[in-house]
Amino acid sequence: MKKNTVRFYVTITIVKIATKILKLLGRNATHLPGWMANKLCPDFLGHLEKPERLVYITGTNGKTTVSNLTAEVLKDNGYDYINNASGSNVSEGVVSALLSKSSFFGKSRCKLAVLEVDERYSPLIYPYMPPDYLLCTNLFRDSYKRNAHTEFISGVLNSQIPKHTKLILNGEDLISNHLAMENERRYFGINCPDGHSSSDNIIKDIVACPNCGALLKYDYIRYNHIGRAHCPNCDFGSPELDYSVEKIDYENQRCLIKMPGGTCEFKLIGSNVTDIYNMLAAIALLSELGLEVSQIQKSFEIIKVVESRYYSENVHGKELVISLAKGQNPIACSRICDFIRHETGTKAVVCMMDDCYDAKESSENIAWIFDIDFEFLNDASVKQIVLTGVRNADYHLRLLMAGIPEEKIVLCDKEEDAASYVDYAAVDKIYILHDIYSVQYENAKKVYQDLKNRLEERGEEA
Amino acid sequence: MKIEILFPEYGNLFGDLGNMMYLKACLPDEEFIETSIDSEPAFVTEDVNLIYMGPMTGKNQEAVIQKLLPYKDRIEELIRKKKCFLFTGNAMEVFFREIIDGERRIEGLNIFDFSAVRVSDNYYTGNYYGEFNQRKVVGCKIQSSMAYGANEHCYFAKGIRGTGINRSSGYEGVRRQNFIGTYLVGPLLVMNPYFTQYLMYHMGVEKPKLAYDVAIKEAYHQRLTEFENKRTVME
Repeated sequence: MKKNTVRFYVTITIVKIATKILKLLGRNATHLPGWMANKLCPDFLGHLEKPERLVYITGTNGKTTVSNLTAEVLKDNGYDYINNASGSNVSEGVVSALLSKSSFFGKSRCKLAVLEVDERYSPLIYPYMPPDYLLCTNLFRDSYKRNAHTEFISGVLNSQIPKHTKLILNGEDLISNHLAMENERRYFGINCPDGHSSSDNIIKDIVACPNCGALLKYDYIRYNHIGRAHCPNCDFGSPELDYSVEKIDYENQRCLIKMPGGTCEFKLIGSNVTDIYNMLAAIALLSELGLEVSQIQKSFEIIKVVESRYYSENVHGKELVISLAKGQNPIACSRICDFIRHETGTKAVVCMMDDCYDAKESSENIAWIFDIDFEFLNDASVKQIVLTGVRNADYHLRLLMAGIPEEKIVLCDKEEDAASYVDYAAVDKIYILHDIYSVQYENAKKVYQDLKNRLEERGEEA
Repeated sequence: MKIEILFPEYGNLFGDLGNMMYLKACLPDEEFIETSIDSEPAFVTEDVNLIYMGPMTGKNQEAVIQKLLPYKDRIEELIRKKKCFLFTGNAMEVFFREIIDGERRIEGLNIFDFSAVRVSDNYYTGNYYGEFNQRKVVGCKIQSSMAYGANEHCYFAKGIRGTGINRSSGYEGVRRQNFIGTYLVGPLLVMNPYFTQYLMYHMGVEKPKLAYDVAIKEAYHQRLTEFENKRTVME
């Protein structure tokens, strides 16, 4: 913690007043206070006292869910902690969260902080607030504009992770589980068939040994590069797991997890393999933080995935699903496509994944859609795909390249009009896939509500 | 007809495998050879109509240079014989004299007297609008390096909007005979139907036909309209 300066005190005074005003106006104040603090005092974070235990959750996919699950369990067990679940995961969000539980002198009012941190922002955060624990869910290619590729982003993280930080890593991701190799670490992973594996993805972000260049031998692949592999020439390979899922029972929504203290049963939070990774990551972290297994088990019986990520409802016999698909993130989108193809019944899919900011003033680089496994939607059960937004001509071409018949594809220029194009009578399930931007989530909710109204009207008529 | 994709396990960044995905759709009956980094390239002993490689990480780029160095004479011979090469993103830099990375100087195949200079802490991204063979070319850029060298007489595309091989040049890429190297990704063949037709013709396809002809042209013309619009931010 740096010695506090007049500039710091002026900044914290202004920001605390601004936060009060924002709250009076009914705003969340989860980003703006941090933005103001960083603008007025560029090393503001360095002046805040570090909580006794600082936990960061990072990674390409799943960090929000893991952060939310961890926070929910802590809350359920009466912990007082700092968290940015309702705010942003960039520098401003982290500052806002820490500031919300700091005194005027920058003293932390909480002993524990569990913060979701975007991996790209680690250079702006770690030097000022070095983590005691760092959980990395996985590393994949993500927004090409920001993150370029995994070699680049793991290099960014490696340059920032302090030596004392204890790492909790995905044992089945050979990229993230080789971060900061000198650090103390724990690995989590799935050690049994998950029932949904797909090795036919377009991309794999690690195929050659980073030490000697030999092509890796995969024992199995769950999806993309997630699985177990080893180098035939040197000792590079997947590690032994400290926390492992040993059995999955989707029907009864239970799983068995082997932990350092023994094997325990947990309730599943969903039916997708990524749900299992996310809950396992949170369980491993909570256990490392010292929570008893019984405490974690009890909380997992009641917690749910946040609705803005996934929500489904049965309306007059039709399942209506709204799901985050994360634009510019081909793996997240591929996972959704894979999930949809494995679901039972006939389906319609609404895609609303344009980059809102690019759509306003630029022209989105759509290279990433050629890394999405849209081929998974080329399935007899998928009866219709509605493509919305300004880039629908690009998506149209991509879907044709994926082998999807022209007659199944419908183009709709305005996202909010999508409901009128959905042939809901012809399918059992309707999936609305939206990007992470709040404006898109609002549009997705409108489409959802519109479809729900139509289904209800139809149900009443019947 | 044979199309060789060099080291797809490396040269697959930024959606550029989409180039070959689309070409396969255009040429469904032709042979596509995927050569892994631990195998000898087919072009060494076989008659190949197109050799393609896409963008890769810096570390993999260095491995690819080492892999191709023994075949430098053969590559030069094929360029002289007007065989088609398409190298997108930083794959083009493999054929340069050198790649500069801070204090490090990585020797390339030295087929083109150009240098690439890497910027390690950031990536340049943007859109590009130019002209190739009297047709408009559109593309995107995601690169951690810029190229330096005189390409005014050996460029791939002449710029209308956007950055060329470096910030002070509008000329994009390098070209010699039917060797084309370009930073443009997007993927290039998917975004530029007329260029794809041109390429197929020079590969030896007598009457090149585009797959999904209507859809690809619709997407192309829409993007062209956007890029022609001065209000569209290019970077």
